[in-house]
Amino acid sequence: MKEIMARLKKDKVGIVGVIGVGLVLLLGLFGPWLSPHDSTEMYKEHMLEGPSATYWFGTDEFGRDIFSRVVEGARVSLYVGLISVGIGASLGFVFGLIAGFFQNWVDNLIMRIMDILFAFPDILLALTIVAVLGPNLENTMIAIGIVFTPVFTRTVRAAVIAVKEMEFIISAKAIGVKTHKVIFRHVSPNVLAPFIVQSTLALSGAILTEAALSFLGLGIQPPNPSWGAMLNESRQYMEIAPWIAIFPALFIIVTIFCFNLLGDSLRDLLDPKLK
Amino acid sequence: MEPILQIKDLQIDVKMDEEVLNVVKNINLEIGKREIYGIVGESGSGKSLTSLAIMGLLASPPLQVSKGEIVFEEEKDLLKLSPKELRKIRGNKISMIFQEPMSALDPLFTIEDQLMESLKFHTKLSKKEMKRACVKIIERVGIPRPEQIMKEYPHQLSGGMRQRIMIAIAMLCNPKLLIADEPTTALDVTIQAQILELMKELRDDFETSILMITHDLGVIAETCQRVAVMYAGEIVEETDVVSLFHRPKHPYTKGLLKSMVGDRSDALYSIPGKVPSVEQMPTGCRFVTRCPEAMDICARVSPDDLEVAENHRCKCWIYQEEMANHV
Amino acid sequence: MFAYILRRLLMLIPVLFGISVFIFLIMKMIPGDVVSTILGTEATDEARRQLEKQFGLNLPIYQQYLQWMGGVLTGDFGVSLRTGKPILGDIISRFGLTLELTMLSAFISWIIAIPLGIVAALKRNTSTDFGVRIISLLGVSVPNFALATLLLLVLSLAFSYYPPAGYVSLFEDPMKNLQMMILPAFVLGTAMAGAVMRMTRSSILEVLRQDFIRTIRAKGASERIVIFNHALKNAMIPILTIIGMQIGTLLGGTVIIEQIFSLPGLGQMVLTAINQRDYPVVQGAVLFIATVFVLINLLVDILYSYLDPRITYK
Ligand SMILES: Nc1ncnc2c1ncn2[C@@H]1O[C@H](COP(=O)(O)OP(=O)(O)O)[C@@H](O)[C@H]1O
Ligand code: SF4
Ligand SMILES: [Mg+2]
Repeated sequence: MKEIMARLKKDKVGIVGVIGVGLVLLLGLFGPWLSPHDSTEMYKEHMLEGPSATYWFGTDEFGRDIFSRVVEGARVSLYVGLISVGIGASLGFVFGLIAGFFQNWVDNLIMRIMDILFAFPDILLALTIVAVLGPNLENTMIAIGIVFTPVFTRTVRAAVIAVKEMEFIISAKAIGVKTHKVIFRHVSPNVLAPFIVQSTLALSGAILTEAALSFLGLGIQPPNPSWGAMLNESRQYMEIAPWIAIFPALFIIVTIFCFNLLGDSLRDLLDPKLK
Repeated sequence: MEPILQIKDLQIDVKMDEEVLNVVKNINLEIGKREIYGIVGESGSGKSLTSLAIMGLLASPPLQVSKGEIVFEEEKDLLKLSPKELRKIRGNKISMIFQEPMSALDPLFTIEDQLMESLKFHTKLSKKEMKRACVKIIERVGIPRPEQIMKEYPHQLSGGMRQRIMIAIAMLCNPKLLIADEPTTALDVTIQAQILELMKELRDDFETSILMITHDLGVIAETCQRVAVMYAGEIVEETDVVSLFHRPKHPYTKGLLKSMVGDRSDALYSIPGKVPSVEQMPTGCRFVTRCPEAMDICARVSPDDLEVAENHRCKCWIYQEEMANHV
Repeated sequence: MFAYILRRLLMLIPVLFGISVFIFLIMKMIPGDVVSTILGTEATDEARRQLEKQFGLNLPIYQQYLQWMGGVLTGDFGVSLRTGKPILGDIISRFGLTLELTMLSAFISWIIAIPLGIVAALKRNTSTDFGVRIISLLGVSVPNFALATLLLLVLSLAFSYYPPAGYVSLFEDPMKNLQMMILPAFVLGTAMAGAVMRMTRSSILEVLRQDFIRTIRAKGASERIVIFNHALKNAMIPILTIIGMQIGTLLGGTVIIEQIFSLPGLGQMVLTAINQRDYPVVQGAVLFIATVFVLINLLVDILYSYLDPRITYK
């Protein structure tokens, strides 16, 4: 782990990713103290105003401060991203562990279910689940969590099986140590590396999916700000007020890009074969 | 004897994180027409790098030839040729076979494709003539039913068969020199003997010189006329096969021979230690860390490569001091 | 070969069965019932019962599934709650557009990604390689709806260009159709291009490390032949895998892109049906798309075994 940190320090792309992700996290954490206005307050006399000293990123068609909304949107994005990856990762961890552990009909059943989930395009699956459960914050997170479960299940299962086939496990078995204990002790560190990479990449995927759902009107509901929803609403007015489209778009792009930069460098670090 | 290939003072360096380190140096040897010339040494002694340098196939960067000449047919220095001129020689006048027959053929092409490719590069034959040439060479390397084999893919053949195919590809354009880098190492003993026998026959039929690279003195004894012993990137001894086996000079050669004889006794001898890595090359004689006869001077100054008997060179302080005392 | 394809098709049956059960069950989890959606909450009991019977909602759940599946297998996907028209006809008439969009996007992404991936591999660890890495990451990172929105914004502000309105199919007017499709296809293709670029780079590097490449060079091959005849062909196998996987992203992306560019395809149909709570349509269209995705992956697999002689048809 130390070695990885040392190598990450050398990797300039990775550093940009870390800094970018850090800034977005700070924005999400301390956003409310940063933003000069309430994100839902409508300043009726100031509709569709360009960026100014008062309204840094301008205002939207209801006269709401775009900067405050973008900052609040970062909070929503990160919140949804973290919780839904949390759901997907926990489900995936449990299923993957069980599947890799037993490698019998249980494994078969779990993996076939994951195959079925994999057979749906991500967005379509999330969309269908949200449509069924009803579009709101919680259901968006559940839907995205389910979408990301199969990837985590496969990652964890592969790691468990790899550990089971390692020599020291086999020899531990031979001298009669309880295999479950040994496996459990060794699985965690071996799962960790791919798990971290997967989580970083899934986080960017989750943020992207949330933005897409909200863009389609099936994610976060108004008046709560979400970058995707803001971008969708902007389309009507963007020719006369480009800032209402540009800022949320920029934030979505930069955030996802930074997470991908980070995930990508982590993957290269942990799998130097690709270098 | 007329030489087909002369290597003069060849040196190969490797670039590692800002640092340039030497891997191969002071390579001097001469391969005669129709001769089978051996290079022997433990794994990691620089045999493959030397042979790749002849072919102009060193992976550069990080590897590069930093000094020396490789003269082919007494006229061209291969190191001075343009990439295009080199390509004309490669696979045509000089060809090469490798250690791993299992991975040396492209898995996605049929044997026929891979044979024909060579002819396409170097001849202007019609398709029919090419095919006939392929059938002929496959028969010549001892594979029955050539038409059928040509339609198969590499994974359908055994290791021995694949090595025969590799030889067939190498011999297709009737080369003047065949470089064989550990051609039998990956094969089992009976197949190994067959392949060596085949190579000797081909040498006679095609009048091809062969550079036989191996870590196995048995292979040398079986096939070669002259031999160079390499250690840690240098030639430490060079002579004819009979002298090498009966009057070895260099302590490293003696060690190699001892471990070979040990093959048949109960106590298997092996030279203690390992070939030093590029980063930890000793300053004086490169063998000093493992030499049973090492002296003080060995660690400080590198010995010269001297003619210690007729047609017998050796690079060791024992002989250098002896000769100095004589004068 | 034929037997192999047939066997692979048979192997799809359990997967497709699982998919249909999943879709069916998930649609059953909708809170509130379809009947109230149609009739409103104030409908008489009589009317409700009548409608329940019409939709078979009074039957046990497995019978409902069998009824639905029986219909699907005989080409009857049921009717739309909104229009009363058969669903399958609508799906098929819209599928052409979505398929064209998907294929065009895939094609655009390959002609961008594969050459760039090769260049990055050949110039690895140079600034060119770095540039390609950033481009590919951007491709993966920029959401298609954000790219589409920004692109439309820039085109309208800077060039006063607006994509032509009023969809015409490829058969009516190929030129106009391509004009309409090229922008959405480009937007949709970028994410796939990013992934394919990376895969191309890493698999070319992987292949160039192999022993047989040295053999080919030793035969006197030029670098051009080494790269294009051998390295690329070998690298195509992993690249195909990623292409198969990315087709799912493309199909999913059509939902968004068709909406933004007002293209009457399958994706737009799903979205409209979701917004109108027209569940039989959602159910049918999602099943159809998932099936197409599975079939495309099968196609990729078959292509795979065609490319790689080591894969036997057993
Ligand atoms: N690409 C390379 N980069 C750095 N060192 C290398 C490279 N290729 C070979 N070497 C080093 O050169 C030495 C000689 O290698 P090689 O010629 O393959 O030995 P041999 O064929 O005698 O077994 C080895 O110690 C190896 O570590
Ligand atoms: S020079 Fe010295 S160390 Fe080297 S081989 Fe001769 S005796 Fe041994
Ligand atoms: Mg070697």
